[in-house]
Amino acid sequence: MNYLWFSHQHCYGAGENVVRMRIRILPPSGPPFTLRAVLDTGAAISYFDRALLPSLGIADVTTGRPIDLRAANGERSTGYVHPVDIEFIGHPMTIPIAFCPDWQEGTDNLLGMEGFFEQIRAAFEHRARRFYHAIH
Amino acid sequence: MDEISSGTTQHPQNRIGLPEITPSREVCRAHSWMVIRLFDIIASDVGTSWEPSPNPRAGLEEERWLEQNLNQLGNYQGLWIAILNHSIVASGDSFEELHGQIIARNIRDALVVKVPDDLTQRDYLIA
Repeated sequence: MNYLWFSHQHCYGAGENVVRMRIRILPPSGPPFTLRAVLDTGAAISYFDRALLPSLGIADVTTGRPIDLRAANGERSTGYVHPVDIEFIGHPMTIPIAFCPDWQEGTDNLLGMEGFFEQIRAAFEHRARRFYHAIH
Repeated sequence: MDEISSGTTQHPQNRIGLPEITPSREVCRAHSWMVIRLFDIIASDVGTSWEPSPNPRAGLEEERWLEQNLNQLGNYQGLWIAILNHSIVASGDSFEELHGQIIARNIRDALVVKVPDDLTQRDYLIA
């Protein structure tokens, strides 16, 4: 039998079917602030609301690495990946985040596989509404 | 010697032949003020990037407050809000507007969320 060890657990609401985690943003200027982001193991990469771009010091989204984004409904768009400094439960990380200039503002922030889940060990016990994790 | 006007007190020469100078209380105070002021200037120039201290509890109390009071946010439907401790400290029509207030008022570690347009609707996110 294999065992996995976790250093943290997060309990989410009894009625919740998504897990939203607090992400502390460390902008290049201005005080830090906290956002909520959905843990999304179905997302190949993290995706954040493009409204955040100016606060991250990104004046031109197209300066990032271009990638093809495909949403669950099949809609395709070009996204641009930028490295962003965040803090996840006290752990500083730099993760690649895709932004899409074609998609509307106010979308959910998603934490995906490339760059985010690569840096942590994670497990869900959804019946108990618990998320376990450890930083690699 | 007039200690206050000169700012220093002369003492006998030390062992290597140089005069020992003890700064007066006023000079110490002035130096302390200058050091603090210099620190303020440096801090304001580099923003907050000089302070990487992690805060694992950032947003925790605010998130609990939000979950308990989501139904009381009718006046903020569709707006971006900043929550600090147990109250809404800023709001705006856009994230950019809200972030401008956060910077102007140096609000640290607020939880920033967009209040849904319809608080009664329960949807299922499929990302």
